[in-house]
Amino acid sequence: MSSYKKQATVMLKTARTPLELRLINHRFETVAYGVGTIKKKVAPGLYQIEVRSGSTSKREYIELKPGEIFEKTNIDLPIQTIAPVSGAINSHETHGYPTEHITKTPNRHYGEGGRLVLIFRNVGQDYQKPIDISTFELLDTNFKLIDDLLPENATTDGGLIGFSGDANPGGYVLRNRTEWEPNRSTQDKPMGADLPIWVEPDWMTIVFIPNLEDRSVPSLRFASIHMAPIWAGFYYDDGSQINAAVELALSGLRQGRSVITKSMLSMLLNEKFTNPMLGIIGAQAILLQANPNWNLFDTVRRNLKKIIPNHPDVTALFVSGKERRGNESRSRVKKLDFPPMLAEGYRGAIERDAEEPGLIVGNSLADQAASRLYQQGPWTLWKPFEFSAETGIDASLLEDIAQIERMVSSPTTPLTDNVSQLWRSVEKEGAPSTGTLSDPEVRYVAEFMQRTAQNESTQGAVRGAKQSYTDEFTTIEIKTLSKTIGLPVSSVMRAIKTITEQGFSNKE
Amino acid sequence: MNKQHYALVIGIDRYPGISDLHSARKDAESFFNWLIDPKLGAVPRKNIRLITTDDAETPPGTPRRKAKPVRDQVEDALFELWDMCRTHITDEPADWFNSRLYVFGSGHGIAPNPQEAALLMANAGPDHYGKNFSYAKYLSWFQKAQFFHELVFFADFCRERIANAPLLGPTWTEINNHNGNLLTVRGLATYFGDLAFEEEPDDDDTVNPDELRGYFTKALLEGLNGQAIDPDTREINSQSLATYVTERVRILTKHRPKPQVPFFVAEPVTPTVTFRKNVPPHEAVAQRHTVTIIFPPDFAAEVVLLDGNLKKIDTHSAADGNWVVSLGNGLYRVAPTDGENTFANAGFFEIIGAERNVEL
Repeated sequence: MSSYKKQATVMLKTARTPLELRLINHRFETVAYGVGTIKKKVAPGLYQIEVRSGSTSKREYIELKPGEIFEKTNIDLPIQTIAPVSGAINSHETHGYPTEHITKTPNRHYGEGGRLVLIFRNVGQDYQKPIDISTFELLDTNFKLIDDLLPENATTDGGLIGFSGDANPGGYVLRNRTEWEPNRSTQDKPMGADLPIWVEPDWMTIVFIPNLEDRSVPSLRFASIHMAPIWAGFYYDDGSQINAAVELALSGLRQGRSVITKSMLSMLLNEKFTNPMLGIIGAQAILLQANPNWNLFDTVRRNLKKIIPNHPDVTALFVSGKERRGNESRSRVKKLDFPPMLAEGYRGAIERDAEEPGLIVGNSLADQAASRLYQQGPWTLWKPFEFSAETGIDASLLEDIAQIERMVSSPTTPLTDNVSQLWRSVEKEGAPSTGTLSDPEVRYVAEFMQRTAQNESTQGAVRGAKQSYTDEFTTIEIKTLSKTIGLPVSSVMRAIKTITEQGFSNKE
Repeated sequence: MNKQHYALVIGIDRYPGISDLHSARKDAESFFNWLIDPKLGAVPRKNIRLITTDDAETPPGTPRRKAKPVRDQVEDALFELWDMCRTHITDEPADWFNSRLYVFGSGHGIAPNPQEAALLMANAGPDHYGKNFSYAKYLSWFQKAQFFHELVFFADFCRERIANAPLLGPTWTEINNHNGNLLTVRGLATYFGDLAFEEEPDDDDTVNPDELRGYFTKALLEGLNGQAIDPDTREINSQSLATYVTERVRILTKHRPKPQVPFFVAEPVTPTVTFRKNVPPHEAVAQRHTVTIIFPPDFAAEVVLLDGNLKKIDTHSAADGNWVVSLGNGLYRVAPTDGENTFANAGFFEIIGAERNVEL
């Protein structure tokens, strides 16, 4: 006798391409998984269909009888988006169309060649509530004030405040002095944050900063950034749902997951000529995949390079891709003096800098912000600090890449001599108390030394024979140190210089 | 006893630089108790290092800098374990296949990147998030060193993306061995960037505060104690445990604005890591739960209860009142024997880890 039961067929399809689907059996095991679609033959029984976008999900029960063909299309999930896009439950026409208008009608002037648009908006149920933007200001790359973002200079419209101005191409910094409100975990001090924004010639960069219901000021870490040609502006109801797809892709990036399907990627990639940011996000999502489609990645990157050649995120994509593939050749790209906007891209560039010292320009904002990063969302955010490109290590040390490479690979150069000196002082005087060091670069390097020193007894046991700290430390190439600590080579060099010149007197 | 099983168990309640927790230490102690139970974890006591907040060493009011435990304590304890195992395996190479390292951590945590889950040490705080114990980096070291055949890492802590927190791996010399394929299980309380929660006292104080746990630990221990039995094999393995813990935590945190979703990675997927074999049938029976099915007031017809394979479990007349049944974990459905199914959720309901009332 056979206990064979005719199987049931399940065909599922989501209304939005990037939604995740899972078919879960009565023992709570996942029997089928897909992004956008599932087609699967399964044993008859009780099941659950789970649809997920980022951390939002819902489930539905189904009963599948023997031989049944269960088909459900148009599966949807109410999503909330930061940019006002058609179809999202928190995108009101009263925000969508004013946004379009603001992107096309400048009310500020920051230069010529590109355009910068900042939209603060309520994204909760009470979309008319007042928005306090008094903690925000727009700065240039030297942290000089460009616009204090007074509401009276903005276009306001029912829970939305918009600034739009033609702008010189290049980098800008949007600062929120109270990104984190005082609470116990921040020791009763508000904590500010800076968001880098890049403006490319002939393009507008549009930053949507949400005013969330549970916070008193808008939050940079939940921002969405889009791009559009200056002549076109931003479209609320773009018909293709491309903007919603991007919002969902960003939601995936927030969780470090790539939930992008080929069809979604092709949608993103086809759209890159009207919104290159979508191509950047799509390519970054490819890099998050376990087995990236390198042909697709290279196609996207090449196209992006053609249309926005100076964009730091495009450079970051290129070098991150090389690092991921283990390609050791030096990159022929514009060096990064301004941080990429996507945090994953910035991290990738920092990692690559250990292989290609000088990729991140020494003393630049991209170099000095690296030790102050928050990692709270898909975008690069750092803790505000006093920045001056004039301080740091000697510029002459950084001019010649070959020289830097010699320095980081030879144990006999002045720089590695500094390391030896430093380490000798640790041997003599003990490891520094890293908790009192205020400069994060110095603290990270000192912390590494402290830990290495304190574990000497353990290491001795492993090695079998004790080596001198100095011998051991000087055999650590600076690029290894850079990779271990996660800072650009020039940041590590600067920290070593500071410690050797000032000792560990750099206290809080 | 599993003589070549080793365990590092950490529970940190006191964080002067962040905020104190209530149940992390108890989480660790509960897991420790599971480990040393000869019928459960069966790990020799001498093979376990339990590191928890010591009230004498870190009393309330201790400044952040002086708070303990700190990372070096953890690394030293871990070193003792792998050194013990290495010494034994050198003499008895065949025992390598029976070796396992458990790492359990409960406290505050961060995840600067998607692969990471780093337990914050007691002396961590804003600007000091580098004081952590990086699961990914230590796991990677052990994967190369291959002192243990099986690596089982559980993390009951948040995985918040926090400032550029340095993740400095082991300071031991890198060791590469080639003993064979390793089995690795990572059970994390939450997805990258998300929060993990503790149980909270009831408003009416009916729950003993000492019995409160992190939701992940609660589900993990329930699963290891028997709820995660695979009914086909009568064993508790990494897959059945992952399924149970994930669903149970989802149910336990359903009341929260954003339910907690654990994240399990088992590499390779097969063969699985087995925590208990041949679980006695009476224990499996004990994993059934009392379920009270409550019918709508105006409903008095006959109903049938189906299991997940659409097999009829029993029938009942709603005119006789509530229906009390004993069911194991799974998905079920109640349907009228005649007519349309107008019950709440169309009569579907889930049972996982606890008794419940099902209001139709």
